[in-house]
Amino acid sequence: MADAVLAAGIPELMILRLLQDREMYGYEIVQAIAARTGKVVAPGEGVVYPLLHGLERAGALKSRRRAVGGRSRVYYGLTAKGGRRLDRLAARWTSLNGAVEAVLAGGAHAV
Amino acid sequence: MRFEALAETLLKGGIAPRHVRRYVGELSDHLDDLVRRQQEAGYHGDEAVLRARALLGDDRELAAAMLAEPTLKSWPARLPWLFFGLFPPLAVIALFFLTILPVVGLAVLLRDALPHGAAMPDWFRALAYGVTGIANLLFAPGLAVLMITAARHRRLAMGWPVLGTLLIAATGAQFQVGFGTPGNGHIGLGALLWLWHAPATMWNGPLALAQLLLTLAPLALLWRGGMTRWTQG
Repeated sequence: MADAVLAAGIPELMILRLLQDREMYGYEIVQAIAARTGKVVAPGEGVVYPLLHGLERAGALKSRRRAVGGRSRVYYGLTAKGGRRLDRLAARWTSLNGAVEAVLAGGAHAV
Repeated sequence: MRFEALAETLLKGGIAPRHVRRYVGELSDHLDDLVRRQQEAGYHGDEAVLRARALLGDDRELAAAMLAEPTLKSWPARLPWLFFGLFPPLAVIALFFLTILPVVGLAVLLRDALPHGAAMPDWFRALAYGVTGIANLLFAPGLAVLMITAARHRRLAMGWPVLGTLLIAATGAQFQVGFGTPGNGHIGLGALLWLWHAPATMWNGPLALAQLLLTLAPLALLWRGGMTRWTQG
């Protein structure tokens, strides 16, 4: 159950982490995820927006419209609340990842 | 319009119109970026567009992702009984009293400032009549229009705005704001609750009837011309 919750939180974790560095718009976020994960994580590109809207409603993100290169874009940025959410998710991920790696590594263990 | 069918699915699913508009706008921009990327990769014309559309995700996938976010639903869609059942009568009552309160306050100030027994100035009478006119004839019909418009924008079942309008009409019919000629230091401005002051409000039958008809009028228009558009979106 916890794994399912965490798995559902992976796109959220990646988005929050990317937006910690700078404001981005949807297309940029999707491209950044694909680039940094070597396209291992490549969801349908349009489905990133409901997540962004939901995170904004939860107060984790803020959005603003900016005109760049003659085009108006909705940029998303991390809020303080989003920063705390990122810390929590990252800690859970690190903990679970460590546990899985320990199992995969095999070796001596108590039964 | 791009993504028109998707927008319709989302509205019918209860997603707030502002989120639908933004989602469609963002998807449209995203699609433009994807088409450009395909063109840079050597694809042209329809092929570039088709490849871009496939990368964006199909309508079913895009709709499912949005509908899975319960916080993006409008509160009339989430709690229609609150928006169309409880809010209308409370709003009518609040609007009536909030409107007459400042006028009553002003009348009290004038009464204290004027010599004992003096008539209220003409400008105050005009103001009071104007305010009572607005309260009696605009608020309830205005709220009815608001209910119907809100429901239509959100593609909600028609029963909800019908319920809301009937409640507004019933509540509005309970109140009439009146301004009497002041005398002996009395203000002569107030709201009557029909159930408690039936003879007084019944006496003013034409006003009560006008109020009721104006409130129900948007409903009649909805029935005459809006049914088809509503169901078709």
